[in-house]
Amino acid sequence: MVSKNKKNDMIVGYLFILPAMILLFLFIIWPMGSAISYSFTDYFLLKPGQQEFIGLENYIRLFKDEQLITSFINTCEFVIKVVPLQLFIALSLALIINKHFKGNGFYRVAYFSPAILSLVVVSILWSSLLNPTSGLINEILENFNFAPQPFLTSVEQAMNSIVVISAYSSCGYQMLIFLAGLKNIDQSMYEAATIDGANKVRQFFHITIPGLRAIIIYQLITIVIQAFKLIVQPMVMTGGGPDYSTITILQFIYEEGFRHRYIGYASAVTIVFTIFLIVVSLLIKRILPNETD
Amino acid sequence: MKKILSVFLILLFCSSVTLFASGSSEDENKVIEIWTQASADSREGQMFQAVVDKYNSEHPDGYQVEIQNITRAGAGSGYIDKLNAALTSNNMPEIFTLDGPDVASYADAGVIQPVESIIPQSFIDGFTASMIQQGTFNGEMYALGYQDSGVAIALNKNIIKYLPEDKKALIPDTDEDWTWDEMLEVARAINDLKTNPETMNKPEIQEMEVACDWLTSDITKGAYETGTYFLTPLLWANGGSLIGPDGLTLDGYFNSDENIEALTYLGKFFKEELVLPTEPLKAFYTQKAGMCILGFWFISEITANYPDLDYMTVRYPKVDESYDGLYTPSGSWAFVCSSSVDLSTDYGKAVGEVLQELTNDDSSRLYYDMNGAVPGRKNALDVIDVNSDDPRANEAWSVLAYEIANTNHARPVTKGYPVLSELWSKDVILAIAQAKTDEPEEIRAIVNKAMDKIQKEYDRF
Repeated sequence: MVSKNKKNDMIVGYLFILPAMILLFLFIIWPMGSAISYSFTDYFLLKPGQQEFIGLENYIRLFKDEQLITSFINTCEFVIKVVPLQLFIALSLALIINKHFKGNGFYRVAYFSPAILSLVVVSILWSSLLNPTSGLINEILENFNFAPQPFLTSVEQAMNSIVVISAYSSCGYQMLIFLAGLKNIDQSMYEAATIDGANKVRQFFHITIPGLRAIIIYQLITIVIQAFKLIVQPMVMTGGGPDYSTITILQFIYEEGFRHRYIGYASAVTIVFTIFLIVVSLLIKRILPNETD
Repeated sequence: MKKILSVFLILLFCSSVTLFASGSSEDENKVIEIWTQASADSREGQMFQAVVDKYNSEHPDGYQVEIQNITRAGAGSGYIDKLNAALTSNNMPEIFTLDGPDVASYADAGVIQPVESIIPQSFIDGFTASMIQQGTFNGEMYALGYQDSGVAIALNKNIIKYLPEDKKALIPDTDEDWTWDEMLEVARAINDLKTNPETMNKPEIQEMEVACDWLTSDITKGAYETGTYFLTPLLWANGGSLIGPDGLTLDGYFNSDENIEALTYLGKFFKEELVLPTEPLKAFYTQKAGMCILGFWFISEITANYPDLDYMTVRYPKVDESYDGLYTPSGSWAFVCSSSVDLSTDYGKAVGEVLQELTNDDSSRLYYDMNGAVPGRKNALDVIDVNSDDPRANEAWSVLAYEIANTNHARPVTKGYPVLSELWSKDVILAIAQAKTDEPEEIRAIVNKAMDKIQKEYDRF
């Protein structure tokens, strides 16, 4: 039998989690349930309440939708390119500012500042910098006798430009986490390695990387999930073009749902994409070694 | 204990549902609510507020009007998102604005209703022909436009003064027509100024970055209607069209020979880089472009913010000068009435009065005075001032006044307009811009591919 004190503790506990549970229900569980139910209907945004059950029609359609397949391939391309680049830049910056040198604080803030800026602001700024005729980057290239580049207007370069900008604008956050990890590595290990004659490269691969393993796994999962959710940069900078070369899954969902108003179909794509993201996260966790190993 | 908590949670859930799903109550119906796409502090927002204030002061004992001006993003998305949310929560305002071409899809879905029962026919007859065409769906009047619109070609006088005389002669007077061939020649001549040793070092030419500004950057950023509004007239000017008169048939219209021929002009401009898919921001205003396709709002914009820009305005070109059909772009946002309003009641009649107040001759004049809005009422067209202190504006307004009265063509009335407009801009205009081709067969392939995609979307209706 549960004692009175224990009951009171339970009540207090439930009351503490109640606000979070309400928010979770209202903004995660309920919308997700709605999306699942809409995905089996022909819900058209202008005709709410008139949707009819159409079974798996939306799910069958999405596997034949060329534009969706293009969006998926583009998204995967972005993830494959941005994840290693962002990890590399973040770790490099963390290693640099982990050193004690004059102005260290300034560089730390400077590298981190893009992470606190709105992605829309960053995207508009870079659109201007990369403008083929009046952009600063092309002006600089021309001063060095290089031809101006169609960074955002050519099929070959647009996605790569978005990858670089995304890595630049987001790596500050990862840099700080790496920095915290670096501070936690016992300095005596480096001293011992130096005495044993290990050079900096060996120290990096045999002390730093193993010391950061748990953080690298965490960063990898968060960057992968974040990268799959790419929408702002292509929406602002290229509109998904040129020739659909930068349209991503989330932008596709937004356009189907709110521009073309096919909420039922957009919901089906959302559900499949959510399941895909869960599977990817589980795979990463399974493939990568556990930090306690 | 668990039961108590469960009951509490259910109650909380129910109250939330009630809160979110509740429609307007009887008391709330005492107010007539209006939503517009203008931002509150813009001249457009202020002019609507002025009309509402006037109505409320004249009807102190009647239904009061409340207006919400909801800022729209570049492609109108912020405002439309708010409308969508209101639609799903059954919380639509009694009166709201829609862009003219969107009227058909809202009418077809039953979101808005015909207004002939609350608006006298004599009042409807007072609108210009293109306003009536824009607001009509399946033979019934749904939308009352508060302004018409127009597009013209503007040229920077500080740049074209360097053109050779034979090229200058191709630029028409404000009361003359001209052709796409002539405009192409002028654009080429403007572009050549950048490499001509006699002109290339002139400061105005060094500042110039592109011959023509067609606002194609806006299409890239998702404002697909920009492409449809500014460049569909190229098809109309050659006897082409985007869709059949039934608003559903694409084959034979979208890919017609007239369209393909017209689009080769588009291809020439892009192929020769006289126009760029990504242009410098406000290229014409900042004197980085010699020529521009501009909407009527450019007049007040230049007058207010770019006093040093010396420009001239000419008519939108035709493909063949002998063409005498309607071809210049028109139409704009319009007021519509939500289907939730019972038009047979006094309240419904009051909604009709408010709609008339928002779109009558006096308001049209006020909108012109406050915002340079092109009147959509025949009796208000005389408000257009072509004798002001600004000769540049006088010239521009005389061109636009001519087009409104003689050549304005409504955009297609089709319930699939959002898809049609988007894919026409994205998959035809931008595709040609990227391909930089003026080869008819390549253009036909682009058009056919786009048409197949649009057809698939139309098949879903």
